[in-house]
Amino acid sequence: MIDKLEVGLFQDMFLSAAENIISQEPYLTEIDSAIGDGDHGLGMKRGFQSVEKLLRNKQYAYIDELCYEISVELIKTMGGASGIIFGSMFLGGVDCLPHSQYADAKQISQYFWMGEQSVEKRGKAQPGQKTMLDALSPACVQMELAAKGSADLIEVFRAGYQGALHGMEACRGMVSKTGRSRNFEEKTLGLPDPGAVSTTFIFEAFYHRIYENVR
Amino acid sequence: MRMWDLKDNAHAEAIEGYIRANKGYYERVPSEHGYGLYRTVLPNDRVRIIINGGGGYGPMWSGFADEGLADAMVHGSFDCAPNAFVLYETAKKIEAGRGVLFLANNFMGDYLNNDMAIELLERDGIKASACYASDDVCSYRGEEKDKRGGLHGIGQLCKIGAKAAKNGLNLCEVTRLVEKGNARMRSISLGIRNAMCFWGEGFSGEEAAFREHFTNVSQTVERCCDILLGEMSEWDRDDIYISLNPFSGVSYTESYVILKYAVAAIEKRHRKIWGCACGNYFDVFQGSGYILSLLACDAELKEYVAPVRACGFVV
Repeated sequence: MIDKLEVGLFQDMFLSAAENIISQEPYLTEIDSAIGDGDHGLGMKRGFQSVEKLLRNKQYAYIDELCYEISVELIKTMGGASGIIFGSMFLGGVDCLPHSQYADAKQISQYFWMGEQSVEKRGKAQPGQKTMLDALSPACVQMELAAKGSADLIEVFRAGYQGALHGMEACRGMVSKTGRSRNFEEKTLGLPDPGAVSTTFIFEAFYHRIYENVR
Repeated sequence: MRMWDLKDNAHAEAIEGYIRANKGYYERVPSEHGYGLYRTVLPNDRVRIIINGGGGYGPMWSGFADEGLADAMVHGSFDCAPNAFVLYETAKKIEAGRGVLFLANNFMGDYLNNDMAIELLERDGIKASACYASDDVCSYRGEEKDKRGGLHGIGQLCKIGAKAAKNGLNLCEVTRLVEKGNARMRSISLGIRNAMCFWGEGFSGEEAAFREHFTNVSQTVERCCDILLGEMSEWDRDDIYISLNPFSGVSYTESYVILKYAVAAIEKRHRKIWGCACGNYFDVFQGSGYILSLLACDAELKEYVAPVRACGFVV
């Protein structure tokens, strides 16, 4: 059980997420080329390569500082819609985090929830429109529920990953209603939204890394 | 095959070449993660115009940082909107106390990054606004105009903004005029291959809105004009400015033949021509075809709409 997420472990979790995104670039490019403008995979790779470099060269002392700098790095380096969206996902809830070495399950679940709200507001989108919110929103809902029932952060991140995964799979059955992909109309049926896939890869890496930590 | 050794370096190298070709005229905004270029000699005391969008191959965007057009341009990697920080940093380089107007096509990535750049500038006490060109009648079909994407109509908006800024108007007025131009402008793309016309194909692979057998060039132009004017009945007493952007596979001679047909088609419909221009600057479409854009000019807009000659093209 982990009831306090230490900044070093959270940094490692972000590093795993960056590695996961970078390695999945060909798949992200493939699905975005089918129902979008094809820039998502390379943009995500570019942003998370910078995050990886940042995390390998600096050891963070405070959880809020870690999340803030990752967000700014994504916004600065990615461009496209994804830079702002994924930057907002990690920036929107920074004020919920303590200026401390540790954060507990409630603080972490609140952090991701506020990030989700920030993405909704800035992107003028809601879950159900075949966007990354279709993975992020259920991930945050599940994390919040888990945090109410347990102080164990492994459970919270497991719930987040499963929420994202189910949400991403469910969005295959949606027709895109926003962004460039909505021009592809019915052709978007059957394929997941590339942003939702990336979100799932991030939560997958978060969960696997925190789980490995106690094995 | 493209004429560069490494695609990842192509935009940076092209900007370097462009600066060398126009010695003393430009500087690049220092940034590892975006491409900002600004004119080094700018008159003081006027609203600044920054045009921006996804990186490509043609004069859009570097060629638009020029007299009578924009004061600076910013683009991202290929087909990717520039990031908000480069937009912000470019604005900080050229801002002169009267505010900054960002011009971009109406796509999600462009909107999000321009919107955040405005927020960053406002935190620094710099006034900024944005206008998103939405001239493409075939994008987001059936939806209201402000949800549509942009084609080469952004060129017209750029010169309206530049002239308004030159006349000393404030940021609100410059923005209002550019928005007015956007509201009164309609564009359509037409690709021609295998004896078929493909109307309104998107440049990210979106299928044509509709297709027809090709008959002859003048008929395709007439069809374009009917579609565009069909959306412009609100301004049916205003004169029309025609802007033609041939695809990259269309020759110079063909381009002016098409423009001549467009002038004839508009006049046949009892509309006066305020002006016309032909320039291949929005080069996202390959092969044969063109984009035709019409702008309904009332007495106010006429003051701001006239052909502008830039580096190798006319808007």
